[in-house]
Amino acid sequence: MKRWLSVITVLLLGLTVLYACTELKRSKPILPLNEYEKMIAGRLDAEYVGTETCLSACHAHDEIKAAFDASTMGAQLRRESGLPLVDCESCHGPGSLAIKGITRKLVEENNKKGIKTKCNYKTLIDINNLPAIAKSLICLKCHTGNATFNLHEWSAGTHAVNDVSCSDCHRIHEGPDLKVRPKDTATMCFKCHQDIMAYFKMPSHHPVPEGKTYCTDCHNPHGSTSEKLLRKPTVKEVCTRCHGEKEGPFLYEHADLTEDCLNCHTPHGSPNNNLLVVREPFLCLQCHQSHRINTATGEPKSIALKGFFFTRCTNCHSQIHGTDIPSPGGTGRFIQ
Amino acid sequence: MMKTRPRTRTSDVTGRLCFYRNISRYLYVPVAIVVLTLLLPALLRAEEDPDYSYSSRYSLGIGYNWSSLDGSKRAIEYQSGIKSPALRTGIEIYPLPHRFYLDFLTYEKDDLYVDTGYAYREILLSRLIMRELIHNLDHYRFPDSNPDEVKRKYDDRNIEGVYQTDNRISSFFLRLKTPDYPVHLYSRYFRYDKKGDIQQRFLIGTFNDMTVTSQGRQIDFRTEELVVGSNGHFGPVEIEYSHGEKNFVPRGNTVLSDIYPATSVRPGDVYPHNLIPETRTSSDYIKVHSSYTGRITASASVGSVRQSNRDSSVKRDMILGAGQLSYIPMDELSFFLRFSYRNTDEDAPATTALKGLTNELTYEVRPPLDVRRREVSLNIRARPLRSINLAGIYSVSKKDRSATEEWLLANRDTTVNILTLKVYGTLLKGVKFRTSYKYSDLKNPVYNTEPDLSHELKFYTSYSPFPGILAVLTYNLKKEIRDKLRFIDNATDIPLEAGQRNNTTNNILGLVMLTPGEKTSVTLECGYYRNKLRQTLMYSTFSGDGSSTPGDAIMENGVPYSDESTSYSIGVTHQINDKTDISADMGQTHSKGKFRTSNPLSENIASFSMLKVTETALSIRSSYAIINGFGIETMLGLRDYNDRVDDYNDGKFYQAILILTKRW
Repeated sequence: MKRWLSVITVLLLGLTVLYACTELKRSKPILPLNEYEKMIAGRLDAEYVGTETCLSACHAHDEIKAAFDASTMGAQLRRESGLPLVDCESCHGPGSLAIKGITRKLVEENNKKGIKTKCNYKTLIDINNLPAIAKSLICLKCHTGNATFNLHEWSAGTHAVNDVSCSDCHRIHEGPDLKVRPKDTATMCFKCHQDIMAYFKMPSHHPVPEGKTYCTDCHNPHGSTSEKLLRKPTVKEVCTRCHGEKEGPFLYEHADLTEDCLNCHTPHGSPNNNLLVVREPFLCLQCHQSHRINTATGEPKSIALKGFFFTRCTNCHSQIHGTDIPSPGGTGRFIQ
Repeated sequence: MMKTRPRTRTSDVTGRLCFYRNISRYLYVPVAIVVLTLLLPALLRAEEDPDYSYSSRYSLGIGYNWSSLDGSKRAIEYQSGIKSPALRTGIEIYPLPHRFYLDFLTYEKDDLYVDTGYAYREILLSRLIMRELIHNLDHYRFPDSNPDEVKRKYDDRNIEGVYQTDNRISSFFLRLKTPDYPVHLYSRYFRYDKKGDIQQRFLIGTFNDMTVTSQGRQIDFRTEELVVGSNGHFGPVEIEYSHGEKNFVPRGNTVLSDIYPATSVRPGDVYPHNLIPETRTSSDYIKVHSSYTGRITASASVGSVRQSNRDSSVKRDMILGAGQLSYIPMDELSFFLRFSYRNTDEDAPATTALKGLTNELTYEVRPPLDVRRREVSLNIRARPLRSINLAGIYSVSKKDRSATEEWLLANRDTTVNILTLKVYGTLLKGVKFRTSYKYSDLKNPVYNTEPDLSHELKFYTSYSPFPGILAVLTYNLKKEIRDKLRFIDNATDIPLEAGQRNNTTNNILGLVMLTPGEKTSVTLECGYYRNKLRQTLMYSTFSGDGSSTPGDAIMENGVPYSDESTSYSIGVTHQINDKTDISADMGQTHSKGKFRTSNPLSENIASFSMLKVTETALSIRSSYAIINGFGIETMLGLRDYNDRVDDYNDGKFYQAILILTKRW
């Protein structure tokens, strides 16, 4: 019976893939959102003139074209993929009005005089002043249709909702590889998140300013199912990627408090050791009744004895993140 | 007192071998993908005749790093501080359709940065990132004398111990795309190795014979995670499936053992303690999203995560779900709806055995605390004016817990309602602002750190009157209020509800960037952070009759606690001429923290955790282009860590790096 079920499942999957392939190869337009469609379509009275026309006037364009040719969006994109090659007018809109009145002869004459012939940029799409969603839509009109694997949570993600567009992070004209190098992420992110940058100046911090950990180790700028664009669904899963010894599950847990490491730790920086939100012993005394504060005869404890019990709770409760060994009384006091 | 040597785990060797076989099974996947990586371009090369070219770039830097440390390694938390050669390489080559790049950097021993990638057209993309860093760890000191030579003692078994770990983080990503159909196969591999010596603190004995002990502990942890997935376009939607395996394997001293004295509840024996268990996690996720170019877009994901502890057989299963829906009827109005669901179901044995050298004791284990959390939020954004945006976000989340009686928790469910209002945009020419107010209301908070009410204000503004000047000001304020705290009486396990908690966090940052010309820029920055807390503390007592009978708990209301940190920095960059650049940064951070108790019995307890630290950092960098791509780069650095409470932590670090560079 199980074998038949497997065969049927495989057949169904095969048929689905076959159907999907056939569907994809049909020519059909991508349907952008009406309001934004106008913004990213450019002047409707303009015609497409082709990238070669743009290149003929300006050597700066040559460099950009060469970078695109070497990238996955340009000539490296195989025709079989069925996706359009990205060229100048894919993003900037049709260019016939921009070059109206400009002839090869005029460009050559100006070149001889040392004058750079400028086209009429105002007739192209005003990318710099587009709303962020429209700016992103220029990229998404292809990337939403070519199985870009990291955009699943983009549309209602924190960055998209807060008017951050693709080109705020990805430099489109600076080479074939648009990826941000990990060691450059902090500088880039701190341009907007200056308050977070200030945390990294505190004595206890993750080595982000030192260039050893990156914002993208914990956060996914393209969107996430969790808060704060975390790379994993829970805070604990993010932290225990590196701090695996604290993950558990353990026999003796700190209730569900340890599910969110941020109950005791702050991720970016703290004046306190080990990125603690509050120093020990106050940290623990926020929730727990203290050890006995007096002696058996009711006198205040000596300073030495107070130091023994009230310096660092984790001197004794050293398995505070969870343990598999019961404490002497048989409970989970995180001592053993 | 006899001290036993820490023992290395030897049990379950067969199981471990099986475990390695298991993980090696998954290693076939990246190996297969790597083979494909190598073969596929070769197979396809015959039909390709690239007409395009892109110039290659190379750079090489060879030099030396002189460094000197005076005092504690606190001054260099993430550096080894050892003199060593320095090497830097950058390669970008484009024999199209192949593309390859490499960034390599090492400035000292145990310091490494590698970022390399290979791509073949759009079909294959791969990337390897490796890092290595030293983490200098604290050696917490005990007082020189014992408070009581019989009942309360300190024992630092390695008083001269210097603790540090060497951390290596590697991640590899590979993406394969079918040539004629946009489906991706991808694999992500992550590995974290942490090796070294750490300080292990623990308690031996109980109240009548307690020894707070410290010793060095050799660790060798490895976390590996492999995710294999496929992402494809199925008509109007994209679907992604991924499977992940994550293993945490501790080696070295995974468990310690010591002689514990006899107490009224346990016979004296050699018992294990501070066990670090092996854990394993498997996950499966399915993600679906619609095209993002429509008026309505949606995405959803469902995941299952299974975790297990191989030492104690505890298992944790999680079901995760999330969904997003965005609706943009017009440019001026947008709606975003988000939903998330998480159910954690833990399964633990009802009893556990503690195996001493001669005794075996059985203890009951509390039933695990299962948690289910659901959250839904609606975000409405409007643009009444072209330069002004308004946003309102309402979210409600509910957390249900099981076994709250066994865990002595007050409430089974906690509901959180949050309303956030945001305004952002451009006021005048050159003035941008962003401000938000967040109001949170919690019903049935469980832990004392959860407030009943919370208000949070964030404000950001930047002003650029003309090119060359940018001023930025950010201010964040968070105020949390909680009535009726809940403590569990240590002696009776009876909950005591009393007291209050008020927490105020301030964070202000000012930044001015001046760019007087194309060749010079100056950045001035000043930041201030304060966490101010005032809450009731509860102390347990002896009755005072000379016996060990517990007395009534003492409550101290409004105990003030605060942390403050102030930082200043100035950075200057200047291009002296076409060949010479120079930059300098100087920064100082003052941090202090204290709390104050006023009850005669609790007097002085705050003095053990005082914080007063000043950190100073200075760096000067310069680069000089000699001729034919040759150049010289220098870096001078100074770091000073001044702990004004404990001189033991004071340290100064000096560094000079000289590198000869060549660019092609």
